[in-house]
Amino acid sequence: MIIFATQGVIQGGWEYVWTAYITTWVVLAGYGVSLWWRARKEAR
Amino acid sequence: MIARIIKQTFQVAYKDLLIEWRSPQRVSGLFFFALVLVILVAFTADASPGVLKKTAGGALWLGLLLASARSLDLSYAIETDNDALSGMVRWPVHPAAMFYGKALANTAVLTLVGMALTPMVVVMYNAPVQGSWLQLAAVLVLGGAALAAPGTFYALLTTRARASSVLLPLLLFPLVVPALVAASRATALLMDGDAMGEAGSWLSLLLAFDLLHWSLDGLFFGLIVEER
Amino acid sequence: MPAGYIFGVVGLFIFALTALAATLRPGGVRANWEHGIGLYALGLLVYGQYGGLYLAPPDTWMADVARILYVHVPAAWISMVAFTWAFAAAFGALMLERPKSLPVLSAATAVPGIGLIGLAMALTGVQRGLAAFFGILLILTAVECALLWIGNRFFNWTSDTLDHISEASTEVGVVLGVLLLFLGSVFSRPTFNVYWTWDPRLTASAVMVLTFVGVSLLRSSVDDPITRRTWSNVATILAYINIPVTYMSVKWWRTIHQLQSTPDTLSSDMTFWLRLNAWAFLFLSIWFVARRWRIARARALAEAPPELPPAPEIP
Repeated sequence: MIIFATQGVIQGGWEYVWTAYITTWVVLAGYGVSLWWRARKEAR
Repeated sequence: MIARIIKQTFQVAYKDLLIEWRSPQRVSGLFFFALVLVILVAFTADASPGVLKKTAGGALWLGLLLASARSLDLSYAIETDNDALSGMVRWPVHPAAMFYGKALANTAVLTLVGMALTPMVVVMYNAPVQGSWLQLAAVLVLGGAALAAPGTFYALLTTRARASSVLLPLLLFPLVVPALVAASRATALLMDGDAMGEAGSWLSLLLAFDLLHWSLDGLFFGLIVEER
Repeated sequence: MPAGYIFGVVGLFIFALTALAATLRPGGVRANWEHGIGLYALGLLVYGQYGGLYLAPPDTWMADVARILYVHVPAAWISMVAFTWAFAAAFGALMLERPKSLPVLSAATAVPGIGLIGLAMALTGVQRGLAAFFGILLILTAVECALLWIGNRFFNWTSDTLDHISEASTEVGVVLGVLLLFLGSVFSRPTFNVYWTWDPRLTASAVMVLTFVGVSLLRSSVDDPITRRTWSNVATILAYINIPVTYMSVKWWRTIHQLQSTPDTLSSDMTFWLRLNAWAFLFLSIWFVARRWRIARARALAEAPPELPPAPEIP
């Protein structure tokens, strides 16, 4: 915590937040789609 | 029963060490392989003495780890060539004896290579051992055992897998991270004099890792030998 | 604001209800029963992420960057949970190869487990913690053995069923683990000004994910189904047991240099959104595992040798 106390509150950083959330959605949705795709391939 | 397993353990270890003895180019090849790696690590690090000295412990154990992966592959090559392993299973050698015998032989080889490699590292990295030599010997034996037990186990596990030479390091290296950290930290501390007496706690971590893997891997070895 | 637990209780209720209804259905197991929990997870995830982005209060020091924690921490928790499933299923798969030993093992672990818990009540300090830990471990083993016995006896569970669950959970754990490592990196950059902090937890997670990637690859590179089953389950068990040792070693290794604590000082509003997102990740990964399990099962059926024709009658 010492690091923060000396430098004060971190300003902004929304670009990192958006990167994190969008990546999460892309990964989770991508994995879901891959499961659906592979299930269809197996069914054939 | 127990007496038979112990007897067979030493028979298997003797057999493996005899094979190593009869083709000494394998152990010496292993030593030079590790030595080349140690030299290469020095090239990739900063050449200033202070930095090299700090890298010495890590370089030694990285060399030994990579050499052990090669040696373990070979350790089963002699068993699978003429399907000697099936012969051992049918002899019948108890699976635990097979595991402990091979692991003991691998430990002996690794410790030997490590003991030969240490003076080289000391000279080339300008890192004289200021701590206790006895503790360093203990690190070499326990570290060799820590690499050998999971190594012996996973080397068999990957024999029938496709691309086993890639798979073995991938399975083995993340698993032996604790052993690698403990052994290289202890070695580095002993080379640096170990003023705070910290090497002992790394040694106990190494011992815990050894106990875990020498017991569990021996237990599971029967399962994977059966399925071969 | 309702407590975070209520969302978990509702989800577990939906899960239990749909799974039971599907299992006990007279005409055999109904396909796709997991979509109920999947839809619930999706709703919870949308709500949780919206809350994490806009409704949660900014942190005292990290301000808005702390919002990354609402996806990073659940990914970390649930990847660990998925690896735990993989471990439990791998153990079950090995045990179901010898189903007769299940009641014996269940009793043999339950009795000393209860004894150790009783002992833990009487002890204090580290000894109490150790006794309680091993007691709980033994009781969990006993419960799992009992469940396996019931599943094997009444619901036709086989070694393969659990092997497929282990395969599915390993993959889900690896996906969440890779996500967790990436998010950890995104979080480190604005807070610690580096892309990678060699924080014990993050480093141990990286090693853990790599170990399970290895297990996954082992599974995909052995051809014989029975060999593959045994070998990958044994490898899963060893990989899982190694996690605490790795964590310990990395932690000691770090204390020699410096300690960089991740901020644990969260307000109660923040823990609410954290829990909500964790529940969402948990139920979503249940859906993932169930879907992946179907794929594994279909694949196993496809590669199984065709049934032999009936033996000709000997006159």
